[in-house]
Amino acid sequence: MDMNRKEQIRWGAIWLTVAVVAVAAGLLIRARRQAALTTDPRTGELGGAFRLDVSALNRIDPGLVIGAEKEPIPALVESPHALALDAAGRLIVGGENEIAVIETNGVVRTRLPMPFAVRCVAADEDGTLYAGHVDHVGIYRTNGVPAVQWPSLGTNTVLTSIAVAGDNVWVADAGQRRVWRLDKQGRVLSRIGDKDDGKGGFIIPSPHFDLALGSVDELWVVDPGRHMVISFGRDGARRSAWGRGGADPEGFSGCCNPTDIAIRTDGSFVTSEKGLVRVKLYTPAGALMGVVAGPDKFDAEVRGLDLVVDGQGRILVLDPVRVQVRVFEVNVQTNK
Amino acid sequence: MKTLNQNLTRREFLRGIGRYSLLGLLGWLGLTLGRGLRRGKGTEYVWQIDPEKCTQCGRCATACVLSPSAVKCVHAYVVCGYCNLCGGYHQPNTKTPDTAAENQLCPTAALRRRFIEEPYYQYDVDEALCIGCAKCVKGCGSFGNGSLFLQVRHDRCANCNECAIAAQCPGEAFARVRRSRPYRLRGGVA
Repeated sequence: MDMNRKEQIRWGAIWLTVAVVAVAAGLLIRARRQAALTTDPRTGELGGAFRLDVSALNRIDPGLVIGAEKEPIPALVESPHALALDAAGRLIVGGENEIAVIETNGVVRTRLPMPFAVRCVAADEDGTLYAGHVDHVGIYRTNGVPAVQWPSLGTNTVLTSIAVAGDNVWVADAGQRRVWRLDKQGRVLSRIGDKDDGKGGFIIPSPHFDLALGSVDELWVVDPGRHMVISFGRDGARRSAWGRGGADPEGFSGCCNPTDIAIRTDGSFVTSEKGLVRVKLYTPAGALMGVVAGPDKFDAEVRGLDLVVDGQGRILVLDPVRVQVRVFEVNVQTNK
Repeated sequence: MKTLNQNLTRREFLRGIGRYSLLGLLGWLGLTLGRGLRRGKGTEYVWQIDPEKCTQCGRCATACVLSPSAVKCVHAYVVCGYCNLCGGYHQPNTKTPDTAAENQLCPTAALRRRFIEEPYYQYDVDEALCIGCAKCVKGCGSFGNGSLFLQVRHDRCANCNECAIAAQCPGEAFARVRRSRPYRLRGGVA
């Protein structure tokens, strides 16, 4: 095709413009990448590649939030670690030096001084309190009967959760990475999670290892390193598991979450996480129902939020930084 | 001076001992003073970061008079969970916790991991590559046990009288500590 001189000049100008724009765009992209990888000469600060911004992860889609916070209850004890409910629906809060029994309206019923720090606590139907100290369980009664200290479960023991039902006491031991089943005299009946159990045992990177009793003759244990919640029969046989890792709302974030769980009467699970501090609600099958409380509700230094669900279905969260029992109501129904 | 085969008097013997002892003492004093001057311009104190006050702002990497900075990430192994998915090593949204470059958090690949036993991994800091940006420290603190933290490494710190990083530190985490205990470690050891 023959082109006259005018057309040749026009096409030449077009191609030249395209080439200049392409080179300029390439230089701009390169400059932006360089800026992200090196120090900004104007501010002297590091480029984006050297900064970790976790604020985006802290934002929760408002459509996922299903919890409404109510008036908190003062936890009263120093350095609170443990939260439970007794058969009468009263709060049992364990701390560094004492256990406080508190009505849900905040009225203090009893304060029991403790000889050891309380890491976890559970109440039997007759009101007996089972407190997990670092390496052993202590039995306390509010009617003046002397306390009983069971023998230590081992030098590496770090008890982090306890549950009582029938003739059995289950204790989660983060130090030895196993669950102990004891009778009510403190004798060891069986263990769950030994490393040679064919499943590799529990992975517990930090001292957060929770368990909870389900409604149907089952024990739910958190395996935080695998980001899973696993059910066992009360004989110790493994039944099922759910959960996955991930910083998205459905997953459990970081190295080792959830830190704590509680089970509602309909079988749905309440979970809490550290790092990216979140309290969430899952169906009995492990599907996310919503976020009860996001990171904006808690102080960043919170490490572990013990949970219980009261008779009205409210989620009670022990906040060790604010020394409060935070109260959340949820407005969803479980679809099994 | 008497030769060796000549008998010394008691006075001469004692005078000799005193003379050589004095010389030895002077030499020892000179060596000690010289070593002190060479190490830290004669000071008993060195700069160090309090990990509890550090805000991981990144200025340790840019404000130090040395390049790369004398501040490095150090690892308290006793605090570490040896996790497969590590908040200090992996990007927050990592799907597969492996060693792929796109999954790693450290922009200079200064954090290395090696398999210990299923499913545990050990994480080590390559100080030659670390620039002290604290990105891994923030990740470890946000999503892990907080076993990674920044420290001034005294094998390279010039121990300036006016530390340029301390002057800019927003968390006031820099402080003088005794040279005999120059590190502020998490978990007691690193």
